Amino acid sequence: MDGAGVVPSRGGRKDLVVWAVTFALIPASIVLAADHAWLLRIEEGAGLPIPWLFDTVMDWFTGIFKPVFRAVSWLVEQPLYGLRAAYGWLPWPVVLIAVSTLGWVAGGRGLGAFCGLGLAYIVVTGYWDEAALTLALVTVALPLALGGGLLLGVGGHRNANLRRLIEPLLDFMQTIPTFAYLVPCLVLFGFGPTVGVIASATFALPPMARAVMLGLGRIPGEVVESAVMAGVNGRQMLWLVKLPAAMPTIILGINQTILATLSMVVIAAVLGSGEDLGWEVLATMRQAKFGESLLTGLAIVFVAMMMDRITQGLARRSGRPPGAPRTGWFGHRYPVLTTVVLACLATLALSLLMPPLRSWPQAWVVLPHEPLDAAITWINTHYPEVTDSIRNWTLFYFMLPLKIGLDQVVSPFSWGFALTPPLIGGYAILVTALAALAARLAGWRGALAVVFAGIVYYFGLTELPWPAVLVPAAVLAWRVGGWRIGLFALLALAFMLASGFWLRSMLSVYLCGSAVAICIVVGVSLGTWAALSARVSTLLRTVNDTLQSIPLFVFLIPVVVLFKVGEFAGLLAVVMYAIVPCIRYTEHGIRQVDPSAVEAAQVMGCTRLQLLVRVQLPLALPEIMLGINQTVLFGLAMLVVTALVGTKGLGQIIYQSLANGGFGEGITAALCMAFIAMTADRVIQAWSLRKKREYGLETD
Amino acid sequence: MSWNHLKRFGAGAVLAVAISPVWGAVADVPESQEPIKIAVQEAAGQYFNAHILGRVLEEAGYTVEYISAGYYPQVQGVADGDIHMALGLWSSNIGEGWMELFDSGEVLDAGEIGYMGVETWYANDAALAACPGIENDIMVLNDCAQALATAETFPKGRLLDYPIEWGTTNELRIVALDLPLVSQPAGSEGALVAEIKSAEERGEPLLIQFWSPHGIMADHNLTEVGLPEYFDGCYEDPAGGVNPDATYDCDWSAARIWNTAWPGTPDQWPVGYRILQNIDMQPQDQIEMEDAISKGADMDAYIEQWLADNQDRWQGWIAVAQNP
Repeated sequence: MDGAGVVPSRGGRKDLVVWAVTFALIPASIVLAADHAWLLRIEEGAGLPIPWLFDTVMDWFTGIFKPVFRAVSWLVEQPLYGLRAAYGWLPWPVVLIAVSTLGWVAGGRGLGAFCGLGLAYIVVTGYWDEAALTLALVTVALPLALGGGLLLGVGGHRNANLRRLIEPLLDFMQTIPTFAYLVPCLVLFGFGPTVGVIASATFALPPMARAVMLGLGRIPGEVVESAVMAGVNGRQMLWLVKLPAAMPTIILGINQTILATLSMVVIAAVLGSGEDLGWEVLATMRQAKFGESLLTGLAIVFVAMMMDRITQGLARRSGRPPGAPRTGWFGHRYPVLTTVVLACLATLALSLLMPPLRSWPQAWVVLPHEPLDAAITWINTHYPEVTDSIRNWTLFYFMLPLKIGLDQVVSPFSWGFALTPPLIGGYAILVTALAALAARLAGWRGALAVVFAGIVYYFGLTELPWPAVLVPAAVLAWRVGGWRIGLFALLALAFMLASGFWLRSMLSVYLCGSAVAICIVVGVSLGTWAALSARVSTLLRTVNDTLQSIPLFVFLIPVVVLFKVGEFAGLLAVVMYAIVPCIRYTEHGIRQVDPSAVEAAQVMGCTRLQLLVRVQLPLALPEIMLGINQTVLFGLAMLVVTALVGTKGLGQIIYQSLANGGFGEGITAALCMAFIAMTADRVIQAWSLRKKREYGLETD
Repeated sequence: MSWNHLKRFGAGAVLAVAISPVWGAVADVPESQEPIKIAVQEAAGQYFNAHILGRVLEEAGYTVEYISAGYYPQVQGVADGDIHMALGLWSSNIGEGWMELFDSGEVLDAGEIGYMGVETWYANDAALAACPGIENDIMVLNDCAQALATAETFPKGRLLDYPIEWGTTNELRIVALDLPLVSQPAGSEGALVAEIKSAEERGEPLLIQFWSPHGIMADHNLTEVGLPEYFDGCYEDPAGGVNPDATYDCDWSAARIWNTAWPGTPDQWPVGYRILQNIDMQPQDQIEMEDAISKGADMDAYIEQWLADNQDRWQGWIAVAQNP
């Protein structure tokens, strides 16, 4: 992002005037909308024929390029089928020995034991064959994602014009839900495992490309200069100097790419990747078998964690200087490797004699799903009043007012009384008082934020006329991030309006926004706690890793059993997934606060609480904002999945498009989603950068 | 192919003819050595049907391969020839874009599976108790709708509906019959099933749009409610039915459940394609199968048992396919 466009935060009078005009517009549009509803309230589906346009272009495109894609599909299939056969053929003890050793080499005894136990879990639960298929898919998709990411990253690093093209492309790849382009993918690549591979690789590529660009951009000038003096040519410079120097950052990208690939396993199963772990999750979810789907999900978690930890360990090892060269015959030089190879060969031979070593007998399978199911049933039968009141309370006091406004929600049934004019007056006074308080604490900008929240809470996001949402959002983007981001936000919102998906977009914003609000409150608290306590930190890291790599479909069933279908169930599912970055970044942000600042505060006699509230949290704020940014992106991505428990909004349109075998509607809705995500991302990033500069944390 | 291969193959063919008294000698089955690829979905009922077809084709002399496929993506697979046969498409939820593939001949309509799908509103036992008589007349809802209410629908009752993308018409039906109900879409089959299980555990009344045959019926008691019967023209002509001013003032029409095949199938495996056309499953087969599976039977063993018990039926499908 260009630094020149950032508006200084204490821009004073001009800012105030802009905001005063913007806020005058909100009541004006509400009043005008009563008489000119046709102009200020857009009906569902009333828009330009954008979906039709997409359909037409796609028909033309598939007509011409189908053979090319089919050829690609054939190419991808060959290694995939080969790997499937190979993984399926390998007896499980051989894999167990080899992978545990690899884990041990990469990360010590603990990781070796973890790999052994993880694989043993997969064997004993009888998911070995399914895991082999999943692994084959990942083995093909991962190099595609990593290779493609490397290529795009290097290209973007070398050429600034190319970079300007690549970055939005990466944004779209990450924010457009896969389901939206499923139908054209099927038509282009044909039915089969390839579509799943391509979809996984597409989704998993961006973190790698970004990490490569970031890493290459951060290499100290001296490194490059000394290489130039040593006389390296362009290719050597890239492969032997720059990429190795950027490796620590790239490793992070590789790990994110691994997790992203595995998170696509279930979606790949919908596309026909075979009877793998993802398929098993779908099958059990369809029959609402929570226990079994959770146990299958755990198998995916184990695969993801093993791959993640082993690559991290190997990367750390490769950073160490090599030891003294060993001499002697092969077995002498590499005792571990030799022992393992011999052990593998021995088990392989043994497995030919003993069938249970080849494939785990069905009769020995242990799948302890009953206790899990029983736990959910127990809560459901013993505490229905508790789950019901949590649900109703959240709906009446939080979600429904945001959606349709207090003026429609408050009734004797929901709140216990009707909304009378004195009560409305009381509400206005309350909002004013809160705004005054916010003005004292955070300046007039804080007061405006409170007033806007008060308006939304009273009228409801989906009931406000569109200018009352569009204009403040665009102005906010402009004032925070400069005119480029402001223009982007304006065009993005205009697209939602023009495509006829404005109401759907607002439903998605409302659901995702409610979830993000909860994530911020809970996530920042948990993250703070983790930063202060090592034990909590360890525990939360395991929970976070599991939540990030387990297929979320697994949680939909218990959520529906306990809380019924609808928006509250959707909210919970979104929170479970999107809270992870909020916790992680908060902990990281607090931990990396300059120790001298903490010391200084302690010397000045701050109590523990004061230290946290006055020093650590404010200094960690830019980092926390980046976490919230990720939370917004994760939350939007989850909206497609929550459509499976009956939430409306853009996600539902995308499914509807799939059922109709269409493309245009789905991709238009998906673009709306991507635009919401990208606008939020740009604004929050700009704001975080500005704060960092204010604190002198980052200069450029 | 080497001479040895040919010899072995020849011997196999002779053997096959020798041990197949009825059909082996009549037509040259299999007409192609290629395996016939059959789509299998993650639902037990569809798995059962697909494997019955596969086993019958094998008995007739074909090689069969099962391809796991999503419900909608399988149609594209059939159009491309990556899948040769797929069973059990429901007319109520295959959208127009997919139907275009049938109109243009890119996929073949291979006839019905043998039974019609029942789609209607079901009440669980608690709902029957809360709304006595609902199984005969839906209008009793006017007195008991609040028993079905949730926070979002109060004071009206909740009808847990199909996911929107399956093409539900219940909102029109509720208006046409002037019922105090709100349709709430469930989003997925898993969510519908989870609600049925949860309501049973809690003893809460539930009114749900569902279909039969379905595996859940083996474990949970669901009763069809008394909607006015469907008649021809109910969806198009407002004049008929209980409400003279509205369409959809009636129950759902029965859903057509049909099979589909890749257009090359009849040429490559003529007899195999006719077997697909002849297949004639009954709802009773589904209900008995679901019941056995829910009691812990192994699916593949059950399929073999079914074949042994129903020899006359499936041998009839083959015989008719041999002599059209």
